[in-house]
Amino acid sequence: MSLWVDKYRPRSLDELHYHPELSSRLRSLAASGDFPHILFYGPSGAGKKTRIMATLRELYGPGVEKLRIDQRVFVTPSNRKLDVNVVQSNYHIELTPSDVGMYDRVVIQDILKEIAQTQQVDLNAKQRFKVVIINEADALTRDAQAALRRTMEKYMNNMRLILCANSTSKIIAPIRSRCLLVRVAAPTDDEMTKVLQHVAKKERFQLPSTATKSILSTSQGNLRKALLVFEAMKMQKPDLTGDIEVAKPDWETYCSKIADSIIQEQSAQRLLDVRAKIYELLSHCIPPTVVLKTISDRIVDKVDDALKPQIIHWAAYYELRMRMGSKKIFHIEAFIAKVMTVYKQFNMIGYTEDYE
Amino acid sequence: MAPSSKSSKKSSSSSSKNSSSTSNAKSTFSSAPARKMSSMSSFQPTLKFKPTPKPSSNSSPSSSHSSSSSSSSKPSTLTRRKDEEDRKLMPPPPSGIKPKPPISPHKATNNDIKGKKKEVIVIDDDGGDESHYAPPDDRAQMWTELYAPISEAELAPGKARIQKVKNWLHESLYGYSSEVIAPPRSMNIDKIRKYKRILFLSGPAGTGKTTTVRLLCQTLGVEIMEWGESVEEWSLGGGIDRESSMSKFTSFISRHAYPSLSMSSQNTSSHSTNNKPRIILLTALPNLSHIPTRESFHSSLLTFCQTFTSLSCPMVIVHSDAGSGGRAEESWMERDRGGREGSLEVLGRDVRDGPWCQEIDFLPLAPTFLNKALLRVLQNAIPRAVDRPSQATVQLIALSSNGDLRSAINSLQLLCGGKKEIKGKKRKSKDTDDENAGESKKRGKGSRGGKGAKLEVSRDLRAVLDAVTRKEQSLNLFHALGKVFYNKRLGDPNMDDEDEELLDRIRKLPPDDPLPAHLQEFSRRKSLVQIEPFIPTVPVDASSFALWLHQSFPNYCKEVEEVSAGLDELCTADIMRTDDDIWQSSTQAISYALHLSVRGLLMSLPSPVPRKSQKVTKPQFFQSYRLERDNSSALDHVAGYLTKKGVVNSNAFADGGGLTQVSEELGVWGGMINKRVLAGEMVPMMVKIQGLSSNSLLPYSAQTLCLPPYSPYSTSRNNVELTAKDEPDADEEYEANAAGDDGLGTMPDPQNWDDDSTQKDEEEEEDNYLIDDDINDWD
Repeated sequence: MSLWVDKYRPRSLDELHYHPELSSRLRSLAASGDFPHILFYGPSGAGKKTRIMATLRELYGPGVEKLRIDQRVFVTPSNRKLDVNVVQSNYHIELTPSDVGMYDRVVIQDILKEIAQTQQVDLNAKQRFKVVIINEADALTRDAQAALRRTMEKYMNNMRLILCANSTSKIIAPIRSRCLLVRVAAPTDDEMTKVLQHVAKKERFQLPSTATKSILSTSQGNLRKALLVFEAMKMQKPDLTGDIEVAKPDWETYCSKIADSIIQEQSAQRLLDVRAKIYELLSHCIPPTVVLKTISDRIVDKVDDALKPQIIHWAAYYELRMRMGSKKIFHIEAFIAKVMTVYKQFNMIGYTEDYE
Repeated sequence: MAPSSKSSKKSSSSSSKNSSSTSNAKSTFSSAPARKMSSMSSFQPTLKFKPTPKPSSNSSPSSSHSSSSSSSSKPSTLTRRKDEEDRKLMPPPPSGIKPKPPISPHKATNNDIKGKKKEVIVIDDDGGDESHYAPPDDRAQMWTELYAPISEAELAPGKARIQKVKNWLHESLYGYSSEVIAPPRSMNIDKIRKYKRILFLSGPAGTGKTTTVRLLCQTLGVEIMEWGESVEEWSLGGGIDRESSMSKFTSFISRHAYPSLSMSSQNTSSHSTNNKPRIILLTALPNLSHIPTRESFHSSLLTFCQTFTSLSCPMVIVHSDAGSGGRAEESWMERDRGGREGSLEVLGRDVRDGPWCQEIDFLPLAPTFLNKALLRVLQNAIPRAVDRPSQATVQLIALSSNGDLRSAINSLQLLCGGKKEIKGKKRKSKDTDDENAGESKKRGKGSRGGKGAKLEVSRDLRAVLDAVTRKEQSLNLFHALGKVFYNKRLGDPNMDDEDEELLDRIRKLPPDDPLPAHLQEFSRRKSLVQIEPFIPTVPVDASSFALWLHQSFPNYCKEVEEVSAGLDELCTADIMRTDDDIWQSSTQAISYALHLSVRGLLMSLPSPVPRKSQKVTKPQFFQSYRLERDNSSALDHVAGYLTKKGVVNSNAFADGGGLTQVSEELGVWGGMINKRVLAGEMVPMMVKIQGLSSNSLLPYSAQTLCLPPYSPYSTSRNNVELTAKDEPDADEEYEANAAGDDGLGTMPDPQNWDDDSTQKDEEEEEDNYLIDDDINDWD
């Protein structure tokens, strides 16, 4: 059995439910034979990867679905061995170089050189070039991006790059200028509803509008999450009527409970309790930035309007410091302590001091 | 002059009288520095040491002592030049022969080693009942060597460890434990010996590892063959191929894994030595940070282990690691991985995990043991009790040496040596001091409220000691944290138990300038923590100290505002990045960070700090970090699993002709999933769906990725309390607090770990999981 997310994932550009103008542009690009390097960017769960795969299918036909997994071993100059998993077909190769952290440059250089220096062997292939998909391009180090930039020009004959990123802000300008930027925006509520209805129809049941509403509000434009939540809800309560508790990931529940306990009491002891929770979240690989953002969102939901801008201000302040520093827990905790302080003062004197 | 080197010399410089005399002079020259090296660097005195080494019959006149090195340096340069010329004229020595073994003359004393032993061969003679101690008229000798222990009872490390080493040696040599009285008959002794090939002794420097091995070998009558990184004698020489130290090592091992057969056949007279069992002792390891060297080292160890015959001898590797007190700015990440060269690094995985190797870890010596050893050395070194430094001095040295006996003895020697000049003046006061030592001395703190005269002495003493042991009188961690957390300031209540001297000194400081009105909030009373002397005594690196501070300081705050201010300081210090990329941040930044975290916390903590029996706990950070790494590898596994599944399905789909029904059956998605998405969205939701549908979606390894149920209070309080148990010189006040009752009603007892509840959670989770059959073929 497989998840609805996978089961009803569109496989060709025609099946995509939203962004039709984007689909037609991709189609014509694939048909023109002059395919550029592309950088797909957009929020998580908007359908970037789905569009990439659909585009590949458009380029090469169903042959791209014959996949294999390879574990490649790269050796760094310091003789460290890196294992990287790659998924490839005869026409493309997909990898996530940022998995190896600071050594991503080695992976990028080796793989790209290898791909670029081998000609397409399949005579029946529709295109002369191979495609390299690089996931999480915005997590690449500067070095790796620089390495990418050189190879992009040098090996244009045999290879095209498709980069996939959440935002372009962390991609260096030379790469941005060498790529066709394709923004995949998050689907609107209407578009999401359409997709949910489609899935419900395929699964042969009726989707009540109350359920749709609660799914949309939790998923916030993330279609993958919406479908996962949808499936979990359907399992919880097959008829989807009445008051259903929205199935959320555990860590989100955690974060909102942390926010509750912050608002309940502001003391050193409470901070220590909260710290244990945050350690729990971090040790389960929830990214610290996400933790900080989610907690601050939940707090903002619950406090007086006068406090909201201040809380957002401090969240931004500490997130920046967290990115600069190395011990994430310090910064998340400092944020919480600051929020506690501000909240406590606000409750005592009814207004807040200027925080600027 | 060492006989062995002499003999080798003879073989190389055949018959020419002229060259033999120059070689003699030259070896004199090089033996002096080598001698010095050995005495400085190792607390490994040979046990049969002759008190005043007299030039033996065949030794050259100037080899008697290192003190002569300066005087002989001039002629020796000349001779060396001459020697080099000679060498050019002469054919290079046969490759197997190393012309100049780095031998410290006192080590290979009166043994007649003949034939072709070229390496450093130290043969302890089995005498052992000669008179060992000499009057210390010879001050050029290091006491560490002069007064090394001569019996097992005198060894400083713990009995259990010594016994372990002894048993191992015995088993590896004779095939049965030393505790067994008679060798079991009709037993194949090689059965055990085969698996006792390498003994790996690790521990901080100066804990008596080498000494133990040497002494035990002596008592067991074992011959030690030692390999030490030799000083490169040919570094200036030209034309002669240098053998890399690694290949020297390899050939050394292969040559000495077996008893010297050639010797016994040629030399019937030395049969007695041949019957002696031997061990190989490695004290200086090659440069293991160089990867090719490390690999060849590992492979030669492995070969050594694998080639066993009943004649081959075992090996003991002595490895000093950095030790816990090291102030090296190593990152916590490194340390977590075993940043100090662990046994894995030294031995290699194959050897360490193989059956041949045993590891024994030596601990830093406790001050009481140190004290005992120091007193023993003193007794032997200074025959007249009146001349000896006081008990208190010895104690102070023992405490300040951080468990390093070698450095303690060295300090003692320096102290006694330095005192000779002023002894006339001071002896009397010393003696009075001695009498009162037991009761009034508070280690390191000086005598409290003592009379003027006594104070005078202890100050004197401390001045000397400061000079001698200045390097690290580091506080223990407990104490250092306490200094920060208690934030003692002038004018606190309950100041009675404070050190009057310190108070006086602080009172005498000029008053601070009053702050302007708008900065009034920053004014504090004078702190009793003197930052400048305090900072260098912090026993761990800046980044770890920040973690320790962070873990416990909120307990010492009254208001959340104070916590917030303190955390801000820690954050700012953290931004200076003191750990993960040390090579980028300057040492200045590291010290600024430490200053900032200490001063910042002192600033933000309330004054006086409420005393409610707060506890100092170990940072959860390390545990959490470890968990995070485990989980992230679990996540990798899940990602691999899902990708694999997707690929399989995708291929099935492609084979099925691209029919839509097939696609709906399989849910084709042959792609990689972003890890962040996986951790944040996919896995948690898949766990839910899996729990509801009893369909297996995830591999078993995903289980650890589930969060435990939320409870409003800290559930997993696996905080290990830092106790004063193994740190005997903690502040008593601190000890009292740590042992006292928990002042906070809501907090569960930290000793009572929450193992039960976490286990229960796991069990519950297990029920939710179905082990995927696919998992087997994935691996």
